[in-house]
Order: sequence, then structure tokens, then C-alpha cells
Amino acid sequence: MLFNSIDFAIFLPIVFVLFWFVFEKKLKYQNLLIVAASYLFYGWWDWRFLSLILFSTLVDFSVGLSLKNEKNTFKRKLFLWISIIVNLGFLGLFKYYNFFLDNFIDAFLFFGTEIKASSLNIILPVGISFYTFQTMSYTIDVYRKKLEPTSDFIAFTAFVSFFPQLVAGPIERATHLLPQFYTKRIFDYSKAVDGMRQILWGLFKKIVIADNCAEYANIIFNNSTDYSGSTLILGALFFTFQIYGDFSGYSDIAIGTARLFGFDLMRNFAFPYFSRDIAEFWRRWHISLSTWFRDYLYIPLGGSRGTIALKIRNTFIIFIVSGFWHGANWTFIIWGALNALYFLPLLISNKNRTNLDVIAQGKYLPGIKEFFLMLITFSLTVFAWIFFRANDLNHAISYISEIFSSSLFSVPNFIGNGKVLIVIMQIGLFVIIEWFGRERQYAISHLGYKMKRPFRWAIYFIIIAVIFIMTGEEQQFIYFQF
Amino acid sequence: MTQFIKKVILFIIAFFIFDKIFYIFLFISPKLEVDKRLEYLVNGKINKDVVIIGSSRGARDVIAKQIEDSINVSAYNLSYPGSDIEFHEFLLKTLIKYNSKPKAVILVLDDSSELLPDETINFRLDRLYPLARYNYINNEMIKRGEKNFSSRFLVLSRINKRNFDMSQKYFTHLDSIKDCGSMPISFQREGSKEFEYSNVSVYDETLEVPVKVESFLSFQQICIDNDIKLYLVFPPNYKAHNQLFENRIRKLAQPNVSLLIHDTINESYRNQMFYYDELHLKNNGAVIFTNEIIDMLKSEKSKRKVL
Repeated sequence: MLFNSIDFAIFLPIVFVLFWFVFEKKLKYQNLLIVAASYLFYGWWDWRFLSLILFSTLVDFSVGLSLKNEKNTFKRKLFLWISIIVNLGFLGLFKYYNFFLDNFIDAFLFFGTEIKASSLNIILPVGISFYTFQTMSYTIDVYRKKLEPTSDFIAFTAFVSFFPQLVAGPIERATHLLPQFYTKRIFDYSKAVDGMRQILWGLFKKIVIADNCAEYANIIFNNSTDYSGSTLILGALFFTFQIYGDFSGYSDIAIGTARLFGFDLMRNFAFPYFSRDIAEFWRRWHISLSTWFRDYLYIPLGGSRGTIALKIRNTFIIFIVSGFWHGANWTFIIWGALNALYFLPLLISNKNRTNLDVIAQGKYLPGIKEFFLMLITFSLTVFAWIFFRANDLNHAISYISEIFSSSLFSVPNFIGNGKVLIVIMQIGLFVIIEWFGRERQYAISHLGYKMKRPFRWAIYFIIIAVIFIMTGEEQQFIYFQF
Repeated sequence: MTQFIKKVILFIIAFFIFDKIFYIFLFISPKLEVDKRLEYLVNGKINKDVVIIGSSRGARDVIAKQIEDSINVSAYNLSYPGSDIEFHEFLLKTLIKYNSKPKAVILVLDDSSELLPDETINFRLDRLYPLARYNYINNEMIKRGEKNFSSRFLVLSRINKRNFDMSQKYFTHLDSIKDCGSMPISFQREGSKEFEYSNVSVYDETLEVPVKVESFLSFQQICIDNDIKLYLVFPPNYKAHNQLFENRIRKLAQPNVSLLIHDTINESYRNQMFYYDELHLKNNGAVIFTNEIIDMLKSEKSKRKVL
């Protein structure tokens, strides 16, 4: 079920009413409702893959319980590896099998040996990378004794399948989300209102910004050989805002929805395009994944301790794995490696933790230096997105080559097209709103805060009207494919 | 909780009222359109004996007024450039629903992309957007997944970006519509000297789009059910007549449907001067081809008293 669909607009109020009015007496009933609603939510797309979620849930629940009473280190490790192998096994089979197979065939062919193997004709289950990482976090934390394993199967199933964040995150930690299924929920008016507001802003980002940008990003990327370098830059910019609007919009809707049910999900985006260096960008972009890799991969590898060589190795590993997490394609690996390269100078000069605050805090505008740092970081990010969006490496290389040709100085093909100008104006307005809301959890969290209700509501009405009017061609959320 | 629910309900009611302001755009939008044929159709103003339906070939190659003048019947051209058979089926259904049934329908076929995938012909949703205030049109958009059921009660859901274009639309030199609905062209396409007569004829039945085939069959069935004489017309292209395509259409045609293939030995159809481009006749060519249709109608008229 898509958040921006009429199905969800019907589904959400029904679940809300049942949750707070029918099942409010017992926590267990509420959790049970969440499980049922979540399975319905996921099964709406394809019910067959519910078995995968259920199996993953059963394995990790059992492993958790086994770890609880097990003192033997070897056996504890064994249990942990069972969970990791099952979860990564699913990922490997559904997401990476064909990629590895094709690359092995190519590699053997390169050395003159032809091997025959047939690839699997399987579809990638939506959100598999998200819920497998979430369940793994549970097992790892139990193994590390950071978390008491749960014996409440319903609560655990609800934690794994919680519908607001099931298919595209934020990837929650068991330490943060699971305890919320044990405690009695009390309806909080201001929290619910805030949740609604965040859903509204998420829908705006997705429907108005992402879907409209997608229309032109797709045209330009899919026909990149027909366009000038300047137009290709425009295409990359459209994709830059598409992916941000799409993914951060999804996260906003997920967090807002969870708040309606009394849950707090972790923040996933913190205005990443207003970053002054790449390290800051990665502290603000897809936070739940970055911190997951930091806690479960980077730190176990040694993190930023040890020699410079070790630090560089760890940085490359985390960025490349992070890229590979997004998809079985060399473009994602290069995208990850490129970000590692961007990160390297900061790491070597020990400046990767200099920009920890919000840019131009308490000010209307950034300083000149801050502005240029932000511009450079943004440009580097846009450049890296080309690899992320390209169909394959050849496409990315030809796209970039054309950008750096003489046609870079020509007028972009779409300038003069009224519809494109409207999209550019939308982006401009969006950036302004985001800039002035950058010190908040999300841009409009305090919009019209001090105004009287009629004026505040008028703002919401206008946003809703714009969402309806400016609806672009409906696109699936990009991160569903990951 | 009760406070929250009350506020939400109040918000929804207030928004519902606010939403109605936008009705003004739905109301103005059709008035700014220059091609009002679809609106006439929905308002029951196309009450003609002969109706021509097709894509740009139908619009350019057949002059309804010439038919009217020659055989003393009323005729109207409802062909839309860039439209496909699904859109033609929709036009026919609308015609029958809101207007008096025509005695004959002339379906001008796209040789040979009528049933094949072709990006240049599609269901002309853009023609429906300006008329979204009509429930019938809105329901069609819902049926096609373009709108959802909320558009039945929310104006903002029914509205489209296009409805906010408050500029008056004008005819272009390519899209001037005569009073009879036809859109003949009096000039040749720029660079038309480059086009060459082609003798190549190919048709691959396996490439056909099932939905289009279904619409084609349904189009015929609607005519039969409503006692409307249907003529399937093959207009000339600046290339040899495609016998393979004709055979396919013959196979799909119902027994009481008549086929008219343009006069393949007429030398005019081999002369560039009668063409706008490879696929469309110029007005002088359209006059010749419309005469062929007139002859057929005359012959049918005398034989079976169809008209």
C-alpha cells in the first residue's frame, strides 16, 4: 500500500479508530491490531512475501530467546550467525544472487572460460533490506547484551512489521522501538496533531516535489544522449530533489503516522542539503541507515581508531557496503566509493566532526564561507547522484562526459518550457521553506505556530490544495526497490 | 482524544467548504477551449446522420461538409489527432448516450498502427481534463485510473493543473477545426520533399495490443447493437496499400460491417502534391478521398436505404 494512495487514506483512519476506541483496553490487543494492520498493509502489495517477514520474525524471536539462557560463547555466536545468515541469505537470494552470478560469468569469460548458469527470475520483495536490518539489530543487541530478549511474540512481530516504517524505514533499533510495544500508550493530543502536520509535509515533499521532479529527471536520464551538458546538469538537479523529496517525504509520513499511534520513530533526515561538508551530509542523510552501519559495521571494524590506513579501509568498507545495500548494481558501489573519496580528506585531516551544529544557527542567512561550503558539498552530492540514478556504469560515464563537453555552456533544452519553470519555482520555494525550518524536526513543524487557528488552518488548506493541484505523475517511492 | 477527533472533523468540514471555491476553475476551463466538440457531444448537440471517427487521418482526410453537400445528409467529423481506438470507442459511447443515434459511423483506420503499440496515438485524456466538471467525464477518468473516487465529492481531487491555465486557447495553423468538425490542411509539412513513396508492407499480428483489439471489436458491437451502419475506411498513405493490415481487419470485421479501401490505382494518391506528409492528405487530396466515401455512401443508400 502506498502512503500517497487513496487506499492508505481509507486504511489509516480505520486502523486509528480501532486502535484508540476498540482495542484500547489491552496493550496486547493493540499490538495484535498493529500486526494485523501491518500484514494487511504489506500484503496489499503482494501477500506471498508475508511469509518471508513471518519467517524472519520467527527466526530472530527464537534466536533471541535462545541467547537469553545461553552462556556458552561458542553457542551464542552460533545463534547470532544463524540470524545473520538467514537474514542476509534472504537478501542475498532475492537481491544479489543474479548480480553475483552475472559478474562471476563475466569474470570467468574474461579469463577465457565460459560457464553456463541460469539467473533466477524473481522479484525483489518490497522493503526486504529494511526489515532484515531491523531484525538483525535486535539479535545483535541481544547478543551484545544491550537488550533483554523479548518473550512477547506479538510485541516482537509488531516491532518487525510495524507498518509505518516496514517498507522504507526509518530502520529502527530494537533498543528504541521494541520497548514502546511493552508500555501502555496514552493518547497525546499535541503529538497526534504534530504527526498529522508531519504527514502533510511528507505528502507535499513526495507528491509536489519528488513526483514533479521525477517527470523531468526521467525524461533527461532516459534520453541523456539527446541532451546538452547543461540540460544534463538540470536532470541531475531534478533527480537530487526527487530523491530527497521522495525518501525524506516517506520518512516524514512514516514518523507522523507512528506518532498518531503514540510511537516515536527515529529521525531519518535533518536537512542534508544544507550541509557544509560530506561528513555533515552523512550525519543528516538517511540517518537510520548511516548509524546502523556505524554501530554494527564501522565500530566493530575498529572505527576511526588505529592507523590512518585502517581508518581509510574502514571508511571505504562502510561506504561501499552502504552503496551496495541500495542495489545490486555497480553504479551503487561507485556511488558509495565516491562518497568515501569525498569523506577521506576530512578523515585524514581529522575534520570530520567539525560541523556538528545547524548551519547559520539563529540567523536568517549563512555567512559567505558557510554558503560556499554548502554549495561545494551540494555540488559533490549532485555529482554522486548521477551514478545512483544511471542505469549502468556506461550510462553514468557517458552522462558525465556529455556534461563536461562544450554543450555545457549552451542554454538547457527545457528552459522556456513553462511546466519546467513551474517545477523549478516549486523547488525554489521548497528550499526556502526548508531553510527557514532547518532548526526544527521538519520544516513546517512550527509554521504558523503563533498564529490563531483560522490562519494556521488556512496555511494547511493551501498546502493541501497545492498537493492536489500540483500532483505530478504518480511514481512509486524510490526506496521501495531497496 | 475526543478533542482531537472533533478538531479533525471540523478541519475536514472547513476544508470541504474551502474546496468548493475551486469549482470556479472547473466552470471556466471549458469556456477557454477552442475545440468544443467533446463538450457538444456531452451536451447532446451532435445529432447527425453520419459521424466520422478517427485520429488525425480521420480529421484531415475526410471533409464532413462535402458529404453533407453531396448526399443531403447531415455529417460531422469527431476525429481527434493523436487518438486511438480506445478513445474512438469512448466517443462512440458518448455519442450514443447523449445524442440521437447516427445512421452511419465512418471509422477511419490508422494503417497500420490501429491495433499496434504506437506512442503517437493514445487515449486523449488531455481532451477530458478541461471538461472535468461533467460527472460523465470525471467517471471516465476514474474508470481509467486517472482520478480516484474522491473526485466525486472533492473539487480539488477532480481538478487538474490544466484547469488553472486561464488563457484562451486558439487554433493553430495545424488544428483549425471547420464547423463540420473536419481539420483539413492546405499546405505541406516543412521538409516534405524528403519523404519517399514506400512499397514496403509489413504487419505483425503478434505485436497487437489486446486492449486495442478489444476496443476495435467492441466498437463494432456497439454499432450493431444500436443499429448503426459501420464503415471501416482505409485512407491512402504515401506508400503502397498494406494488404496484410487489410487482411487482419477483414478477419476482425463483423459480417455486416462495410469496408472501404481507397482507390489503390488512383494516381493522385501517388502524387506528393496531394499530401501533407506521408500519412496525411492535404485538402486537395482529402476532397478526392471524401468523394470516394460519398460514392460508397450513395451506393449503399440506393442498395440498402441505409441513409
